[in-house]
Amino acid sequence: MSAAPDYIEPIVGWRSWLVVREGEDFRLRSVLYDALWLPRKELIARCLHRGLTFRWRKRYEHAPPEPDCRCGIYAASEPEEAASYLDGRGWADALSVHRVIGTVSLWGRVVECKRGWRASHAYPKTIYVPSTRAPLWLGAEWAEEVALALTDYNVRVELLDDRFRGPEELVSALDAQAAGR
Amino acid sequence: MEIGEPKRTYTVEPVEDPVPREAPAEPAEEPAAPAPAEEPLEPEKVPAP
Repeated sequence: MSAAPDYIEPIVGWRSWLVVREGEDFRLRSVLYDALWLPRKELIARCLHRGLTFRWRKRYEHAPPEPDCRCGIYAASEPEEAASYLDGRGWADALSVHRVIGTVSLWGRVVECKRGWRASHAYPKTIYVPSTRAPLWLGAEWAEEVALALTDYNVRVELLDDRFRGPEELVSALDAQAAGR
Repeated sequence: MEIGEPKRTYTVEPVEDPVPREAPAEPAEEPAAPAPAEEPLEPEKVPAP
């Protein structure tokens, strides 16, 4: 018999994603790791850190997330932290056509941290598509196309208009939206 | 992402599935079995008197 869960509602946090092309489609991808988020399928965490340990050290096998490791699917409790990844530039940007922000449902095994969570299972809950995010060549028409394509995830997708150019403005817009509900 | 130090660990088993999964395809309606063709009625053969 399995133990009773501690909670029966998913935790909801904030995160940013890259949007990448997969054939004819647009898909969400983690900003820092090579993890593709597929429509209608939860992302399940695997520990990528154990491969980084030194060879002579015994590998520490565990089910993610483990409090003593850094594994798991991350989400922040406040949009500010997630929004800081909207403006980043990294090697993965060569693959991406856009960056988006949103809320994510987390469940399974969850490690609660001071400013967010790490979880074993996750799926997007809401996706906000900034209309004028870098890459600089990405115009509003493209953002509309991206937003439309992301409806494949069958969650709420909102296109944010071009008044919200920076992460701070974006966060205040998201806060205002949340307060209005 | 900087989310700080771990505080506690717990399990979450949502009652409702957070993933909007593909609705299972409805089974295609089976074509109704064709009614057995009625054999044309032939006049009953009556033995000749």
